[in-house]
Amino acid sequence: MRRWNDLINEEPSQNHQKTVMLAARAELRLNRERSPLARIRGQRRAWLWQSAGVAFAGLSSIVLGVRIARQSIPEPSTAPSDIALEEKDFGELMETADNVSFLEEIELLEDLEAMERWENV
Amino acid sequence: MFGKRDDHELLRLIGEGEERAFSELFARYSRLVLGYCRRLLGRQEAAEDVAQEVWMKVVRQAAAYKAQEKNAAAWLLTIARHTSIDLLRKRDELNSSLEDESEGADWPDESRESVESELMGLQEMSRLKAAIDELPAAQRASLMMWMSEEMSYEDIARELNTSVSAVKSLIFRARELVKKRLAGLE
Repeated sequence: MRRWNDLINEEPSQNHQKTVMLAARAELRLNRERSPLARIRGQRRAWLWQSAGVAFAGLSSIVLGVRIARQSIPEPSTAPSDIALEEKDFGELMETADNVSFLEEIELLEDLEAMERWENV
Repeated sequence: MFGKRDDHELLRLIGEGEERAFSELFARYSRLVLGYCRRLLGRQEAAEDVAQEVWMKVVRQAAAYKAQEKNAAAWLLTIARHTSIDLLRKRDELNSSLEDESEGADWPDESRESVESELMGLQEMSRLKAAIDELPAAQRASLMMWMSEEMSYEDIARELNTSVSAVKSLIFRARELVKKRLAGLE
């Protein structure tokens, strides 16, 4: 049969080859979309996106929770203006203390003057 | 890379849409598919159209191809035969040439080897091809199915929707007509 098979051996023209390859390309694309391998890849991609979405949502919730918590619980301030305010309060207190001793001194002087006046009388 | 893969592997990859696998299979069998369509149909232009359709069917059916059923070349020839016979039926060439066959005559069983040696030894290949192309459609199709695909008379009869006796007659007449044409008697 080897010689007979030479009868069914025809060289395809360039045009025929191009036409077939072009038409086959579109059909092969459909095969890629339909193949089980492509389906598995698609499912895996969908799972990855879903997992990424869940992880992002979880992370966002945690960040939001932390921010809300930080806003609702006041922390001891370390801001420079607050430190200045604290220093000012301390100064006023000291001034008051100074004033008290000054008044006491005045009272003491007044008492001394009164005693001197009484001695002179 | 794809040149080393066997036909079954290439068909599996075509089923998954691999273009390079298709290019390799086409490079291996495009001559066979086109040549078989050409001999069945008898005309180059129709053969190219049908061969293109055959390759589209190969891509569509590759995922369903079962390696254990047939070898890839036989599978391709089956698709080429069905597609060519369908076209001959649509054009009514097959039925008109089948009507001439006489029923009930006692046609002898022939051996493929004797037909091959008889016809192939006669003339150069191009003249033999031309003589086969000029045969009536049913004779041409019967001779090619019987010789190239080594189909039985019963299978050819089923394919052409006719009797076994008519198939034997078709093959006998085809051989005689080719011989006459090559001898310049017709």
